[in-house]
This record gives sequence, structure tokens and C-alpha cells, in this order.
Amino acid sequence: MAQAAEVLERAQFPPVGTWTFDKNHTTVGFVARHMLSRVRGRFNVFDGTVVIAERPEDSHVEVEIDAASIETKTDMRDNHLRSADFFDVENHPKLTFRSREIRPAGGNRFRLVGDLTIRDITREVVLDAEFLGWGPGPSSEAPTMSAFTASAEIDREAWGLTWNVAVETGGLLVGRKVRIEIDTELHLSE
Amino acid sequence: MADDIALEKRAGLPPAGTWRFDQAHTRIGFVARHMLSRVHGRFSAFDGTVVIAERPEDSSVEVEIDAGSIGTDTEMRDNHLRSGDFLEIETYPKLTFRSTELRPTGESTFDLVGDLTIKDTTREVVLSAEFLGWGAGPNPDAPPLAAFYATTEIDREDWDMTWNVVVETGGWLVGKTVRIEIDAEINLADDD
Repeated sequence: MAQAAEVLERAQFPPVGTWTFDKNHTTVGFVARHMLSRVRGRFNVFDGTVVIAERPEDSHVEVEIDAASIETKTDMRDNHLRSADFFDVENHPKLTFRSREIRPAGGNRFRLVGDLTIRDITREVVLDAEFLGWGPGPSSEAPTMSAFTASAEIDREAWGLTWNVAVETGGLLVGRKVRIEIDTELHLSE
Repeated sequence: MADDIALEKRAGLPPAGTWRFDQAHTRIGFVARHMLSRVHGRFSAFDGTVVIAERPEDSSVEVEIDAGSIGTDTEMRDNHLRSGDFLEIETYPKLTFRSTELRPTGESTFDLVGDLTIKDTTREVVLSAEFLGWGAGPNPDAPPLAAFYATTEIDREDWDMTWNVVVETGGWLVGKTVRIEIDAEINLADDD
């Protein structure tokens, strides 16, 4: 059986430099279970930088997310998510993610290990990520671009997000596990 | 995704009858390629019924989607999608889907065949669908609910949505293939 590469090949990572998110082509999304189905949402407002280093494993990511920008296309639910039952956005306006480590996982894949802070609680998450390529932008004025996808499954209760409702016939209304799904395009800024 | 809800699922198929989409827990979504990455969007206004028959194969789905309700969380793009370059919502305010056939493919999976009309073109699509179970609603006043997931890939050019931009270094800006992803919860409205 093939072993995962011990290092991320330089050729399988974007050029060295500081990159920013192309917000019109980046989705910071999540999926949660509701009863028998799934509800999908995203955070629409965020900012951050990705620093790609000579050694890919020395690269890092920092993102700050506007908690109130959460959106699941149902006002009542979005307001509930902003409330103290969930994100408590009045007291905790930002979620942050700071990467600490990149572990190669074979080819273009790697694990992005970092600290996710929601309300006052910081816990480690490990995202399964993949580098999708880089190249010139769509026109000669556009900056160099690159793309990644990343996902992780987290237990919201680890951040104290424990709200739930018992269903009378048994079980809970909303899942504890939340899948994070990120699709991003980055622009090289320097 | 991990099943940590521990809901009591009833055995077998949902009761026969007319069901309606729970709009707060149904998403009609799509994914399109942009350069190297993906853009996610959805239609947030729609209505429709699912008729569950005694024989599953006789069940049917009808959905009417508000074309203007398209959203990809970027206003400039959403306006472009509503324009004559894409959906032309002023002339064609609705998209419709009407199923014509349901073919079981496994214990809880099936193919849902139907006609998708966008603007003035109707083409057949085949969705790969999965029945996720049914059970009592979340409280005694709530109707029974059932859940499904369905997906398919379409070529938007089949519905005359051919807009694109050549990328200077080669290739197209936006993919022609669009993945449709539907997460649906339905509520029993009227049992037979």
C-alpha cells in the first residue's frame, strides 16, 4: 500500500507569498442534521490571509469570521443562531481560526490543524484539505489565483453550543455533529 | 455525516398521500465550477407537492421555483444570473420540474425521472435520489415528516444558458456542468 508522502511537494502547492480570499468565490459553509434531513448554511462575511511558505508545511492560515453573518436562508433560524442559544453574536462578534500545522496526506491532500475559537472557547480542529491548483487569473489585470477545498466534522458541544430539543417520539431535533465545508479561491497579494 | 440524532425512524415507506415541502428545511441547491474552484447557490423560493402512492413507483413530484430567488451570496453575480445572459427572469419567472417516472434502484435509493423547464426549454433529467426515512414530527401538533436527498448533473447549455468568458490562458471561466443538490423534508398535508 502506498505511503502518504512525507513532505508536500513544492510543485503541488501554490507560489510563495501572502494570499487573500476572493470573497465572491469563497464559501465558508456548514451542514447540520435536522430530524431526518440536513440544513446547509454559510458565513458570508469573513477576512483573512494565507501565507504560503517555501516549505509548504510552514504555511499558515488566519481567518476571522463575522458571527452575525451566519445565514441558512430562514430568518427565524438565523436569528436563533445569532442568539445566546448559539453564537451569542452581541457578546462574541467573531469566530477565529488560526492554523498551527500542516500535515501532508498524499499528493495534493493535506491536513490543516488549527485552533477554532467560538465564543470564548478554543478547540483544535483538523481539516481534510486539498490544493486544487493555481494559475493566472481570468484576464491580464486579474491577480494570480489558487484554489483549495477543506472539510471537517466537529462536535458543536465542544464549543459549548449545546442547544437542542428533545423530540417527543425519541431523539433530538438538531445534530451535534456539524460538517464544515470550505471552497475557496485565493488571490496572490504580494 | 454521523447519525447522532437517534430519531425513531418508522419502518417502510411514508404513508400514501399528498405531502408538501417544509421550506425551512428544504434546500434546492446547485454547484458550478468557477476557474479552479466551486460556487454554491440555491433557489430560496419554491413550492411543490409530493404525492406518495401505495406503489412507490406511482409516486410523483411537482415543483415550481421562483427564478428570481436564485442566490449565490454575491449580489453582482445574482443579478447577472437573473439577467438575459442566464435565467431571464422578467420573461420567465418560474422554473418547473414534473416527475414522469420513479425507478427504485436499491432498498432506499431510486432514480427520479422528470421534465425540467427553464425559460422555454423542457428537457428530461434523472435525479439520483435517496429516501432518508420518515417519522413523527417534532411535537404532537406537527404532521409526519419524511426526508430525501437528490442530485444530478446537468449541462446548462441544454437549456440555452450558454454565457461564458474565454480565459486568456485557455479554457472557460464558468463550467457548463452544474450539479443540482436537493435536501428535502416534506410534511404530510393530506393522507389518502
